[in-house]
Amino acid sequence: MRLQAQLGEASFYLALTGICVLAFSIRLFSVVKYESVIHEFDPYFNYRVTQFLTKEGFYDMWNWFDDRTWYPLGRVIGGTVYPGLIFTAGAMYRILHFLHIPLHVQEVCVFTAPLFSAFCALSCYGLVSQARSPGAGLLAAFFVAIVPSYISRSVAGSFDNEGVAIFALVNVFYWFIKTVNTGKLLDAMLTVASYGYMVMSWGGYSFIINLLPLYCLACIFFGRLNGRLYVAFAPLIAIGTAISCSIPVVGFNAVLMSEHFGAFLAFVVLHLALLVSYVRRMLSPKHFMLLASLVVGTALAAGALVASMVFAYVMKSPTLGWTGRSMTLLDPTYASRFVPIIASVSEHQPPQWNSYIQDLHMLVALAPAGILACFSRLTDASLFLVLYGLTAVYFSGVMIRLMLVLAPAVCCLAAVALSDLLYVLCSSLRSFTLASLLPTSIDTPPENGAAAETKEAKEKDAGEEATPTKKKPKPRPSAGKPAPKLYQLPALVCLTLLGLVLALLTLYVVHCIHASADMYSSPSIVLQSPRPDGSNYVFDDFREAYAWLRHNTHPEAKVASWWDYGYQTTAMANRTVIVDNNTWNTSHIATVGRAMSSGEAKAWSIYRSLDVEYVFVVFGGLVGYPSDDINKFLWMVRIGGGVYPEIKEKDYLTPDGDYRVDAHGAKTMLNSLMYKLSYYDFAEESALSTGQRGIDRVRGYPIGRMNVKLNYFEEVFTSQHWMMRIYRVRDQPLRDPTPRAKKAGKAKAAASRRG
Amino acid sequence: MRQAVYLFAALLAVAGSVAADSIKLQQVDRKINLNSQFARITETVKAKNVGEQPVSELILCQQLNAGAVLSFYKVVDATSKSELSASPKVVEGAPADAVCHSVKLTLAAGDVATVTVNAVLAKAQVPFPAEVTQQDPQLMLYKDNVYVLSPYQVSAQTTEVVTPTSNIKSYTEEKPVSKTDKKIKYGKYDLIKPWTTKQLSVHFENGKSFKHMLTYVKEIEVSHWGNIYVEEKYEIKNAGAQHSGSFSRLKYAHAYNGKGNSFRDLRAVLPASAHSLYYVDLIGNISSSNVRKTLSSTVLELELRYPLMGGWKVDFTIGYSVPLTGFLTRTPAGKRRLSMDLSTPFEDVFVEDAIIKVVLPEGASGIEAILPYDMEKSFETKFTYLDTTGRPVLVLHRRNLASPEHSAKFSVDYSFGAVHTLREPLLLITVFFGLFVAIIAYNRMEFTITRDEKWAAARDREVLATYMEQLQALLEDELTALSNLTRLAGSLKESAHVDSAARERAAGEKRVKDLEDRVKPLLAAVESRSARVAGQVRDVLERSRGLQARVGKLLAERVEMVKKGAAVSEINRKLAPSQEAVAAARRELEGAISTVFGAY
Repeated sequence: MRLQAQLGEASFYLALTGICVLAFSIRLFSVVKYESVIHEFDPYFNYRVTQFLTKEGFYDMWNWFDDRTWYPLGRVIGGTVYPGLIFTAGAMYRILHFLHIPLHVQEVCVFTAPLFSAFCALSCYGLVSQARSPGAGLLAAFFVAIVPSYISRSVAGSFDNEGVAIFALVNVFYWFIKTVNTGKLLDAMLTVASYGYMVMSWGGYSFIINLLPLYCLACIFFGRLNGRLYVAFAPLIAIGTAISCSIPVVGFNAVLMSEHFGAFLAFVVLHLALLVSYVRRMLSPKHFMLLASLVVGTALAAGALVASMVFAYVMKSPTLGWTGRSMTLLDPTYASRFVPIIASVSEHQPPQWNSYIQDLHMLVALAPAGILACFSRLTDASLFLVLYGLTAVYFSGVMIRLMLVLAPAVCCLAAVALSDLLYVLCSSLRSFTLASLLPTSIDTPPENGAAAETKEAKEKDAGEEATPTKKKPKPRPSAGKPAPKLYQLPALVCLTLLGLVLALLTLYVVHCIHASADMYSSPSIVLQSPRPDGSNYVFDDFREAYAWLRHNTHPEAKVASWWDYGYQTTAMANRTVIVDNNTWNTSHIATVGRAMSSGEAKAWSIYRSLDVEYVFVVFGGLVGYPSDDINKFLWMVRIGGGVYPEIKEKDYLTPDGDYRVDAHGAKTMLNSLMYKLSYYDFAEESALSTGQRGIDRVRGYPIGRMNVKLNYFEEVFTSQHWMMRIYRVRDQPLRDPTPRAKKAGKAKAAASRRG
Repeated sequence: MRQAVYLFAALLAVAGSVAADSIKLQQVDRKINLNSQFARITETVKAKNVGEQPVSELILCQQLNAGAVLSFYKVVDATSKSELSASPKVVEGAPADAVCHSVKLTLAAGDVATVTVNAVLAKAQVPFPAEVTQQDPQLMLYKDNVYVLSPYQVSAQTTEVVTPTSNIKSYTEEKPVSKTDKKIKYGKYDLIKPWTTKQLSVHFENGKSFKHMLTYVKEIEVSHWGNIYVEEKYEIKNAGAQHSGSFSRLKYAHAYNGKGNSFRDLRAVLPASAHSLYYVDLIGNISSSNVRKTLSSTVLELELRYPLMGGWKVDFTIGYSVPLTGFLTRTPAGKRRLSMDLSTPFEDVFVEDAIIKVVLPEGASGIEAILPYDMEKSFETKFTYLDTTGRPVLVLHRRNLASPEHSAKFSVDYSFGAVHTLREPLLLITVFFGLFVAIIAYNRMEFTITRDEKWAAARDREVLATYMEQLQALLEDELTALSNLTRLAGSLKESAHVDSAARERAAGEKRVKDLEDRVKPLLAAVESRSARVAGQVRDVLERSRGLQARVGKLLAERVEMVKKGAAVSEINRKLAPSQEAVAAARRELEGAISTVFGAY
C-alpha cells in the first residue's frame, strides 16, 4: 500500500541518517575519554593555519610567509600546503559565526573529521548504489562509517588532510560512476568539481588520476567504450588538470610529473578509439583495413619519435620524473635506500599482515567475494569497483598509511558480496514463508500477485538505476516464475546463514567500537595510565613544557628539537623552530640531526650558528614512554649522516651492531649531545624516585654514564615526569668548571670533550 | 586652564594648612603587617580639634616607595564602627611619594575622634636581591617612614612591624626600638612635627608566594532559562624574586629548599551551587585540579601547569555555572537584580588589571550597577547563540585589586520582559517552519522549462497516481462495508432480529452501491490514461463484486435458516463452507488491492 511504500522509504532515509550519526558519534570517544583537543603532530599545523585563516583572511593566508619555522629559511605556507581541509574548516567557522554561533576555531577543527566521515558514508552509499543496488549501498555506508582503518585517521581531534580527503576521494568516484551511468554533462561537471576539491585536499589525488585512466583503458580494452564514458572522462582530464594547475602546491607538476602522464595517455587513446570506431562505421571493411595499415605504419613511426622524446625528458630526472613519495609507492625499497626521512616515518612502513585484520576485520574476507560478485554481473560500474579494490590493495601493501585508500574499496566490495548473499537468503526465505502461510486452496493467485509486486518493484528500481540494470545478464532469482525454485534454499539453511551473517556483523561492530575506543582515540599529547582505584593518572608533560616555552621565553627565541615536534612547538608554544614535520629541506634536518649526534662543544657551535636559544629533547626513561628521542636517535644519525659524512652510523653502535646506551654502548653515543641532554641528572633522580640508580625504564638497563656534566647547555625546564627537557644554549660555555669538576679525572674528561 | 588648576591646588593647600593648625593627633598606633605579599597597615588615630573652628575633614597620609601601589584604603570611625568616606587629595608640603586622603569627619572645637585606617599596599615589598637561584631564600626589603606621615603634629605614636619569619637581616634602628621574634617595635615617639620623615627599612625573609594576576577577565553571562555562566581568564605571574640560573627538576623534586619561592597551588572559593566546572588554558585541559563541595561553598583547588619560579608566568581559564536561584532576584521596583561576587575567588592574590563583563540577556534595558567601590563603567554588545540584536554587556574595569579585601558582592539592576526569553525558541520555530513551508511549496511547484514528452509522462503518472489513490480509498471503504455485512451475518441468531438485520443489510448494500457509483467516473478517468492499469482496476472491481455476491448469498441463507428456527450450532455448521468462501474472497480482494495499488 501507499503508506507502506512511504514507510519503507522513510525507514530507508532513517537508516541512512542513522549511519551518518553513527559515523559521527563513534569518533567522539577521544573527546569523551580525553578532551576536545587537536591530536598528534600534523593536525597542529593545520590547526595553526586555520587559526591564521580565520584571523587574517583568505588572501593573507594564501600569501603567508611563515617565519616561525625553518629558521632562517622560513616557509611559504600558501604555496606548500594542500588547502582543502583548512578552507573547509575556515568556511565552517565563518558560517557558524555568521549565524552568531561562537564556537572556538579549535572546536570546529576537532569536529571536522567526524563530520566528513558522515559525508563519506553518504558518498559510499552513492557509489555502491550506482554500482549495484541501494541495499548494497546502505551496507557499504554502514561498513565505511565504522571501519577502524578510517577511524584511525578521523577521530575527533585528528584534524588531518585525510579527514576530508577520503570523503573527497569517494565523492569523486561516486560522481564519476554516476556520469558513466547517466552520461549527463551536469554530473560530469560535478565530477570535475569534486576532483578539484580532492586535489586541494590531499596529495593522494594522484591515485585518482591514475586509477581513472586505468579504468578508462580497461573499458576500451573490454569493449565497453561508449559516449557516456567519454562524457565522464574527457572533461575530468581537461578541466581537472587545469584546476589542479591552479592550486599552488601542485602547480605545473600536474603536467610535468610522470604521475599524470597516464591520464594524458588514456585521454589520447580514448580519442583514438572513438575515431577508429567512427571511421570503421563510415568505411567498408576493405577500405578500413587499408586505412588502418596505413595509419598504423605512420603512427608507429611518429609514436616512436614522440616516445623517445618523452623518454629523453623523463630520463633527465634522477627519479624518472616521479616525486619521491610516488617513487616509494612504485618501488617499496626506494625510500629505505635513498630517502631516510620518508623511511623514518612509521606510517610510511609497509603494514604487517595483522593490521589488515585489525583495521578491516571481516571485510578482508568479504572483499574477494565482492570482486567475484562484481564479475558475476559485470557492469561498467562494478568493473570500476574491481579495479579500485585491486589497485588499493597494492598501495596499502606498500605503505601502512594507504590502508586508508583501501578501506572504502574494501567496504564497497564487501557490501556487494554481503548484499548478494542476503538477497539470495531473504528471497528464498520470503517465498518459503509465503507458501507455508497461505492456505493451499488459494495458493496460486496470491503468489502471482507477490511475483507481480516484486516485478513491479524491480521495474521501479530499474527506472532509478537507469543503465546498469538494463545490462544485467538477467534474470534475478525471483523475477521469473521458475527462478525461485531454482535458487530456493531450505528455510533452516537460510535462517542459520542469516544468523551467522548477523553474528558476523555484530562482531564487526564490537570490534570497531573497541578499535575506536581503545586504540585510536589517544591524542598522543596526553598519556593516561590507569590507577588502582579505576581513575586515570594523566601525564601532561608535553603541554606543560610547551606552555612553559610560550610564557617564559622571549617571543623571538629559536627552539631546536627533532623535527617531529616542530609543528607542536609552533602551534602550542608559539616559538620559532628550526625544522618541522614538513621535512621539505633534508639538509636542514640533517644539520639538527648532526648537532644532536655530535659532542657538546660541536653541537653548541652548530646551534649558536643557527641562533638557537633553547633545545629540547623528549625523554621517556623515567616513566617508560617508549617513543622518545633516544629511540629515534638512530634516524637522526642516519639523516645527519646522509648529508654530513662525518656522522657514521656504525660509530653509534656497539661492535656487534647493537644500539645500546648502557656501559657497552659506543663511546660516541655516550658522548653525543642527545645522550647528555636526555640523561643529565637522571641517575640521581632515578635513585631518589625509583630507588634504582640509573635504570632506564624504556631500555630496561642502567645507563652507560651516570655522571653527566653540561658545560655548554643549561637545564632551564624539565617537565614533571621528565618527559620533556628544555635546555638553554649558553651564551658562553662555562670557562670555569664547577669545583667538583676540578678533580683531575673530570678536568681531563672535559678537556678531551672539548678537544 | 593649567593656571586655574594651580590656583585650585593652592586654595586647597591653604585650606589644608588651615586645618593642620587646628588638629593635633594625640595618639597614633600603627601596625605594619608584612606577613603576606602585601603590606597591610592598620592605624588607630586619635585626633583632637585644638582650634576654635569646627573642622570637617581629617587628612591622613601614607608614604609609598617606588613602584608600590595603594590597593585598598578604608577609614572606620572607631566608636560608631561606621565607614567614613575618604577621597584622595593633594596636600601642600607633603613629600612627593606620599598619598593623602581627606576623610569626611565633623569635629567640633575641642572634640576628640578616634578613627581606624586599613590600608593595603601592593608591590611595597621589593625583592632584594632581585634575583635568586633555585635554592636561595627570598629576601624582601620594605621601606616606609619611621614616623606616621602626617600634616599634623603627632603627640605620641608607636609602630609595630610584623614579619613572616624571624630571619630579619636588618632594620632601621631609630631609638627606642625593640625586636622580638617576628616583631619590631618602634616608639613610643613623642611630639613629632608635621611631615617629619625618616626612612624605615626592613630587610627580611619572606617565603610567602607573590601571586600577581597580570590580567583578569571575568565574564558573567545570564540566561533567563535558568543558568548563569561564569568564565574567568587569568594571566598569573610569580612577582617574587626573579629566578636566575638553571632550573633543576631534580632539586625541585627532592632537595631541601629546592622549591625556592615557587608556587603551584591556587585555591578558589566558589558558590556552593557551582557546577560544570572547567579548568583549561590555550592548549587544552589542565588535568591537575580538585573540587570539594561543602555546605556553604565549592572549593576549587588547582595546580598550575608547572610550578612558577620567580618571574615565571602562565595563563589559565576557569569556568562554572550557577543556577539563577539566589543570584537573580526582583527589586521592589520590579526590576531584576543580579548579585554576584565582584572580584576574584582566589585567596591571597593581587590583581593588577581586572575587567568584569556582565552579559545580560537580549532585551535587557535600564542597566544600573551597584558597586562596593569605584570602577570604570562602559557598555558593549555581544552576539552569541542565535542572537539577533545582541546582548548588552556591562564592562567594569579597575586596577590593583587585593584579595580578600576587595572580595565583595555587587549587583546589577535591569528591566527585562519575560517575553524576551521566548525570542530564540520563536526564531528557531520560525526558521524551521519557513524551511518546511519552502519545501512544501517547492514540491508543489513546477520548475520545468520545456513541456516535452518526459514532462507529459511524469504528469500523467502523477495524475494517475492521484486517481488510483482515490480509487483505493473507495475500494477500502467498500471492503469495510462488506466486512460489516459479514459480521452482521455472523451475529444473526434469532428470528426476532431478522427485520432489523434486513434493514441494516439494505443500508449496507446501498452504501456499497453508492461507492461503486463513485468508482465509475474515476475508472473512466484511469481508462483514458492507461488501459493496462484500468484493466487491473477492473479486475479488482470484479473480485469486489464476487465478494459482494458471496456475502449476499451468505446473508440470505442465514436469514432463511434463522427464520426456520434452526439451532445456532447447526446454522454455523451448515454455513461454514459459504463463510469460508467469503473469507477467502475477502483475502483475495485485499491481496489484489495491495498488489494493484501498492505501487502508487
